[in-house]
Amino acid sequence: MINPNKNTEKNVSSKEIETTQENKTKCTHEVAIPEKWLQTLKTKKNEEEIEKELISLNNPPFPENPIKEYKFELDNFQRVSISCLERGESVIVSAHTSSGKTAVAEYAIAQALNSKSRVVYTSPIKALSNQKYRELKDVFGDVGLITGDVSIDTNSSCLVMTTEILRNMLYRGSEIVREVQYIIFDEIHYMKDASRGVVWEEAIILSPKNAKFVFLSATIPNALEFAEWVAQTHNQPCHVVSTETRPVPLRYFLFPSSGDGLYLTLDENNKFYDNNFQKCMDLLHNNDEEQTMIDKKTGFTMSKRRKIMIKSKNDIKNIITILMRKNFGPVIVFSFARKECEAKSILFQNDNFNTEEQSNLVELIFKNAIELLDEKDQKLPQIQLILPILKRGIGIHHSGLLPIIKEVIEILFQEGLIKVLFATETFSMGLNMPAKTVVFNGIRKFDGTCMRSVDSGEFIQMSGRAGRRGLDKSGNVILMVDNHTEPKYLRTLFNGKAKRLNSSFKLGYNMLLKLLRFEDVDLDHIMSRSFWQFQNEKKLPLLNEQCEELEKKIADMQIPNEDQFKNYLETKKQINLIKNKMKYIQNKPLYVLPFLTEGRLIKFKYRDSVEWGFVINFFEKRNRFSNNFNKNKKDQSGKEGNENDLLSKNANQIFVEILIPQKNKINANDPNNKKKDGNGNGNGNGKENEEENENDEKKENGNEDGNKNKSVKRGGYNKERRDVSIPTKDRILCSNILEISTIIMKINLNYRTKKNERRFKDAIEKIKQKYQEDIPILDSIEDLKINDQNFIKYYKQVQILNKILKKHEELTKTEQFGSQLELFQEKQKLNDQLKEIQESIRESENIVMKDQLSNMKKVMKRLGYVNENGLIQTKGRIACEISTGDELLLTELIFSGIFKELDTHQIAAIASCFVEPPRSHEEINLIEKLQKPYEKISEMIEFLGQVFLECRLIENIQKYKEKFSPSLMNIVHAWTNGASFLDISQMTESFEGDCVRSFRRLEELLKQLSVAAKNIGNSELERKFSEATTLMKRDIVFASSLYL
Amino acid sequence: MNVQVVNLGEVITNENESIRGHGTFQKDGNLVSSVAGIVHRVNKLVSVKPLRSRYHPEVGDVVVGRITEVLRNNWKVDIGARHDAFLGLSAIILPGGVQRRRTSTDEMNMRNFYKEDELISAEIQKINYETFKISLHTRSFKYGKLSDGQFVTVPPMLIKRSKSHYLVLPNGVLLILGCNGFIWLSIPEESELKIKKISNWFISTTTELQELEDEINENSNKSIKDKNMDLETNNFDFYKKKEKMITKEQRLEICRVRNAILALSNSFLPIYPTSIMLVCKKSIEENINPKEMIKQKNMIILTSEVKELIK
Repeated sequence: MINPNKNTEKNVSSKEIETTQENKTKCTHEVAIPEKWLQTLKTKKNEEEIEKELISLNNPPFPENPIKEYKFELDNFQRVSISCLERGESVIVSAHTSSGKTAVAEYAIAQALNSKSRVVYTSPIKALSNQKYRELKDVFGDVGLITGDVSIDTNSSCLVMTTEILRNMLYRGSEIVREVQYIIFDEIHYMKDASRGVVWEEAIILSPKNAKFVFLSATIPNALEFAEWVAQTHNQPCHVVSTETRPVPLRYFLFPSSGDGLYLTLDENNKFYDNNFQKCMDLLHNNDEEQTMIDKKTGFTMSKRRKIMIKSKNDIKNIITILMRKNFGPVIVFSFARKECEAKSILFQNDNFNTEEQSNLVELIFKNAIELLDEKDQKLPQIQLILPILKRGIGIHHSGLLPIIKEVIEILFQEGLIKVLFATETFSMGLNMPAKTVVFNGIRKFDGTCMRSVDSGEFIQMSGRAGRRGLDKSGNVILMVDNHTEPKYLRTLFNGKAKRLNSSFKLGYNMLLKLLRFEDVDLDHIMSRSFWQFQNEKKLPLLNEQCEELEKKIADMQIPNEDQFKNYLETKKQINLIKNKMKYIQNKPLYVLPFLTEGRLIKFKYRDSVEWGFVINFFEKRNRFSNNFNKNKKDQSGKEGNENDLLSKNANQIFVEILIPQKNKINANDPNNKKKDGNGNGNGNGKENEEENENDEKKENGNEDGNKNKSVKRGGYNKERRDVSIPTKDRILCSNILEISTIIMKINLNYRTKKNERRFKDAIEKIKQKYQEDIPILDSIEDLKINDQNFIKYYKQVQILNKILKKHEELTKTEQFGSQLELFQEKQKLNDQLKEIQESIRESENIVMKDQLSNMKKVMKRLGYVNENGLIQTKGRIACEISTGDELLLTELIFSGIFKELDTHQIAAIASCFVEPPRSHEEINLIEKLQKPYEKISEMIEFLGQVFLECRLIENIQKYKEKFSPSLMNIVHAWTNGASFLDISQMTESFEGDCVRSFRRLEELLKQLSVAAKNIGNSELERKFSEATTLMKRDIVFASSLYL
Repeated sequence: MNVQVVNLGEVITNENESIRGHGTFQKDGNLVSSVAGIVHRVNKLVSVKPLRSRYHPEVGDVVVGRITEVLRNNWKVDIGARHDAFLGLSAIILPGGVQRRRTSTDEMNMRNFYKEDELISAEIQKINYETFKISLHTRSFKYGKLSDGQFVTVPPMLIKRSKSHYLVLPNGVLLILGCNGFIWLSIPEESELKIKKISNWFISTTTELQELEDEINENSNKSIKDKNMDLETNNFDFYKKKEKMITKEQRLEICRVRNAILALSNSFLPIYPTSIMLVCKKSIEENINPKEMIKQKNMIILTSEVKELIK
């Protein structure tokens, strides 16, 4: 396998490791070797040695005396990974959750400790870091932990930290960077995360040249691509060891909603049971019909949603009962909504899965844990309510829980004291916490922007929680399906491949400014080393291929008289274009209004088609409610006066009320026929008719108050429904008028009445007869007296173009015209496609995000973060200190002096706008003290939004504004003033866990702001910020983790 | 440009809205300067930059410093700031770029790396604003021990910040413009650089000036790259003192640059490649020997063009 791209040429060998022993799993080993590295090798060694080296690279020998001994027998993939590490090279381990990737990481740690180097272990989430720290501390002892919240033994050889911390260290050039031999990235597939993924990329790019990496990943199909990138950026070989096999095989079942049993669809040996699958699908379908039938009988109008909810409530009870009976516990039930988790747990109020002894143990552990808390906090409802549930062996696990509760539940689960755990997706990550059975309660999830079905990658990750190694022969995965589930989708879910690891690189000001601080750091250079750029460059050959293919296709399409076609269509297009311009001028109220007399027959654009109709009236857009037809009619003088005003208006501001005869019919007919429907009856005595009609209507409508306008409206709607041939009244914008005819018909405004309806119809008939197909049109220049210079110019142009068009007329008369035209249009489409591909090729060849980068530089220059030479200025240095909020916005706020007048509490509240608030739709009524400061920051947001808009970095300000929410301000203000967490949780509907998270982030931000204030030399501001930090940091919000 | 120069104790502004920064204090509702210097305003922030002061370090600055003491696991370095700077044993690159923790053996052998009174170039890694500890690091191979050259000091205010402070002038002189006002002059290790006699410089138009500046950048980048490559591939022992042969001509060029810098400093003019080049060029035109360049009357002649440029 040789990469065709010359820039990233690499030698890659791939092979499958044979399964020699029965209990060992299959795995593949590949290695990416950068060309440059190979060349340096060649300069140093002779051919024989190189040969040896390459063989060893491709088949790394397992060490005779491994540095670390394991209590269990190693899997194949673990052996191969360790062999790679023994060579002192980087390795990516791609395997399922709980298949034992940690063993590989442990070997790397042992190696580093042995050679007196440092090793850094990064994980995506603080909570995971805490868990990992505990685990590694037990194994190695010399382990420290650094997260945003805590730092323990930072001088240890093995440091567990979040990826963000590592990145910050790398930017700072901390001494750890020069001592680290291995950097272990756990859950590297997090790199595709849209908001945080970039952190991994930055960390990898900035890592020291001589460091080696261990990447632990869920199964990803493009691990090799990733390895190639690492190999290229760090000029070192990078191994890929991947295995698809699960340590404990899984069986998949379907559970049709409101069904009564499980249907085995996929067994341990990957055998798909088609008939079971089909049976289940049929059952679902039948159920659906039955259900609706019952509903019809009883007449209940139950919403579908509610029906499903009730059904699924029973379903989950059924499943758990079945599972418990079959001894399939412990069970994890995955839901995708946190509220649902809690709701489900309540269903099991009467069940107890624990023995009394276990219950007591649960209580003991729980009581011990919460003793760490303040007495007040122990009384929090969440804490009080959860204990009885836990005692019965039921648990809940989601991000809305208080961290301490979450940890207690994790511990209880690991101890086997929780038999049924209702969890969200977050539980599928991290520490080894398997169950025998995993139940998916529904497969729809909200991914931040929209509801979607779970993809196979997520499915694989989550079902990985099933099957306890060494305890269960096989794990069970149960999927609850309802009739909305597509059979096709389910099949892909079972057979699906994991998702590719794609770069989600993005630029941030903080990142750019930090890089700019350093001597001769080339921003473009950093960008060009990103995985994003790498992937883009890899796409190039493919794009080139596509491009060539298209070019060939286009060349193959032979059309006779192609040039003529081109001319013909071009001319037509031009005529239309000019005509549009003419229409625009003609439709200026100045010209058109005098002719829009009542009863004038005009042609206009109506919805998506072209219609003929009679003018009733016109009026200005904004007055459409007050200035209705009736009033105008009776108050002629008023209308006149109005008209003069209107003449100066834009065509888009004038509404024309029109009467459309036979609206629905027209749509079906040839447009030419419509003309026949229109007619002019210039003779009727309008005045008389009107009065007469008024009387008619009063009679007809009986008790109705005779409000003509009202009834006309209502009548109009009814008519449409009743009889398609009855005219409709509607309004159009003046700019939609196409043609104005010479015909004026007297219209009876109460055409609705039967008598007048008939009369109207007759009149139309008359017009039809009189004019047949040629309705006389008012000439723009002669009749409308348009003396606009441009208009006359256009007029002449059209005439010329029409002559040209005539020349091509022969073409249209040939038989093949239709098919040829189609062919020609297709060719044009292909041409457009080609242009698009060529554009993306151009983009891939360039440095990624070049435009964005230059726009961001523009912003920074404009706001004074860097000077015209690109050198960092005071403001830029301040922005470097802020990484937990919008750095530019906060810097602007500091420099605008807004914080100067605020007290500590207000400052904390204001800063809370910049941390991600908990999801909520509550109405926020800011307390008085906070209103003014909030207005001020809103102004600043507006200002910055404008700058971004002008530099084309955002599309609209509104979206930018939405990133900041005042929803936490009141709460934070109360908190710094000493409110208890109980009070806080009563002030908001958000989950307690969310509040805690936001508060912790806020404290981090305040710390950064304090440093920033110190940097500008303003001690008062610094004092305020650090005071705010102290006020924030108390009680349960900052209670330390149980793992520490 | 509107420059506000204030004296010690002078009222800068009485606007209530402005927020005070370095070099200022609040008195009776007025913002008063605590140093003599130039007022800097960034939005509402008002600070005063002193005209003459010790060096005020900032993260990422390139500095030249002298080792004053060898401590347990770091070196104390004088960089002309208010506080001493420290270069940690773990903040240097070990020979061959090995990544490992520093052992007690390393601590015993610290004098093999840097001894007292030796000059080094380094970068400011971080500043602890609580304890005012300034940490240095030698991030890449281009930093480290300085030998075989000449050392000049000027007020740090005069050093104009630019993208690169490691420069090779077109006459073949290596110039390390430390942001702390300590300047090191030597010759680059690689000789494959474009070197032009000063008499062949043309700086009468701005484009020619630009060309010359480009040349500086090119040479500087090349020299640094060569150095890095060299060390990476050959596991060169970076910390061994190596004797360089410097010809008389080269010595004269170094002297010329040194005196040019002193001349600029004497007139309190900004020091950056262009200004140095202009003075050097002038010295050739006026036929002034390097050793005569620092005579008071000559200094005025030499810097006249720079003064013109700055105006």
